[in-house]
Amino acid sequence: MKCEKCNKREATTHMTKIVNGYKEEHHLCSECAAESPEYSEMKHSMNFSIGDFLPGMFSAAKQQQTIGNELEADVCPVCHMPYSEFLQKGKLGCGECYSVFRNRIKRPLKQIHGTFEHIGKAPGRGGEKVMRNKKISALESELNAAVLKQDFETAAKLRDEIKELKSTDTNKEA
Amino acid sequence: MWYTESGNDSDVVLSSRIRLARNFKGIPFPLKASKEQQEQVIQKCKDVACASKMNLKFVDLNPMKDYEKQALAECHLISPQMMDDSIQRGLLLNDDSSICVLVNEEDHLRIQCMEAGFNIRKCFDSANQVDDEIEKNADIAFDGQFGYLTCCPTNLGTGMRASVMVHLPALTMTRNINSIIDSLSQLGMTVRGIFGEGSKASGNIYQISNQETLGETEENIIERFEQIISEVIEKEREIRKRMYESESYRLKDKLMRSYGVLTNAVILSSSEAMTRLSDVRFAVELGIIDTIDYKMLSTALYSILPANIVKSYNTLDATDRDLKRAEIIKELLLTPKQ
Ligand SMILES: [Zn+2]
Ligand SMILES: [Zn+2]
Repeated sequence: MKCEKCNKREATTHMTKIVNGYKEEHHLCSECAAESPEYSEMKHSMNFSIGDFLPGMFSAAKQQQTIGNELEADVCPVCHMPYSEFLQKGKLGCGECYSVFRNRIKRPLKQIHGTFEHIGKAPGRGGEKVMRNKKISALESELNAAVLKQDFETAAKLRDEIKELKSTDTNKEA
Repeated sequence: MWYTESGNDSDVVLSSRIRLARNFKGIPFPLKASKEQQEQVIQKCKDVACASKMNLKFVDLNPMKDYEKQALAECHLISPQMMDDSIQRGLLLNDDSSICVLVNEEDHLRIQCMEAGFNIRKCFDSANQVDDEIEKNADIAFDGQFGYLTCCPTNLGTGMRASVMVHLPALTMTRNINSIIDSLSQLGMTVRGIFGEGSKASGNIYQISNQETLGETEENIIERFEQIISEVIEKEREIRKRMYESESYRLKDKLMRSYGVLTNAVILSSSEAMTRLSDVRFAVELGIIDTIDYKMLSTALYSILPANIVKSYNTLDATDRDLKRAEIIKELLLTPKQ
């Protein structure tokens, strides 16, 4: 199909617009498309917030539930939100929802963020300790790997690091 | 107000902002909270304000008139969602409004810090400080795996969004803006118009923010954001220079005509005012006009918006507003720079 504006280049951009209830179709080459006001308008209205696509994304994940998830409750005991409502709206009702629906929510989280493991700041009360334990267990598995490879220099360094992390833990609690 | 200060890279960046989403532990998010629970959140915030060393004051949004709330939204202090008063809502504000905590928006707390110009780091430091003050007195909803828990899973993890408001007349006029928007979204950035989600870019002003909130540290997110924005700034400057070199008279003429209109017009709609102000700002950025500074332009930008005019002058009629708008701009632009 040739571009409807210049009639020279191949049309690569196809736009459908509803004007006063009638459907208008436009077929433009990329150069003419870049100049058309509709296109730039479309671009701006597209400024997609992922939120808009969320509900669909989560329902798609529903069909792919894995076995362990059957053990999870269907309604959050704190805010009483059913999991189905989350699939519809893409929003959660309270912090507890994340624990209750943890296994089912991991896949969509991975789709949005590429991961489901937080590594940033943690609140001073409680949170810091959680993150420190996480760091310690990560270091411990690194340590095991180093020992297996007989890389004792690294292993020694890791051991010191773990020791230090553990000692700040007991200091705080004392 | 914070925007009357001058900042870094003001020739391109109007303002920088950091927003942290936080929720109190054990209380459902605002949409699922009962009236009592919403009140409980507000009470906690009042306590934070009392104990705060940052001079935060609690402002109740519910008794406010619609135009007063809209005026706050026009200044980007509150989000448009907060205008709906089916939920008990409020703000914690400091003296110059550079710190503004939205209470009971989608999350219990949205800690917002703003600075004029390009200074994301300063915003982050103050947001962090407010966050620390709050969590000293209250338990925050946090999960070792998922991080800070938020109503919408897109904010999960750090709960942090960095954003800048940028003036990109050269990229827009030369139609380079679409490819810039494309590459920014590939880099995980969202581009919007000046008035948020779904709004068109009026006055060649765009809001750029990060999308990722989970799996990266705050420090990394900010570093990357700064790098990307610096590149946008350089691109805009480069194209401005080229435009000015290749068609200096035509460009000068176009921009000075807008200056002529703004300093002489009797009636001005807000959309015309936005477009013309963009031209005048561009002329200031290029050094064609040197009697106006950026603070004045930012003041003009906010004070001419409909609800702000209603709020300051009590002019409810649309025509009166357009008359008033022309008057405000004329006065600001003709006041000699200090
Ligand atoms: Zn064509
Ligand atoms: Zn819940």
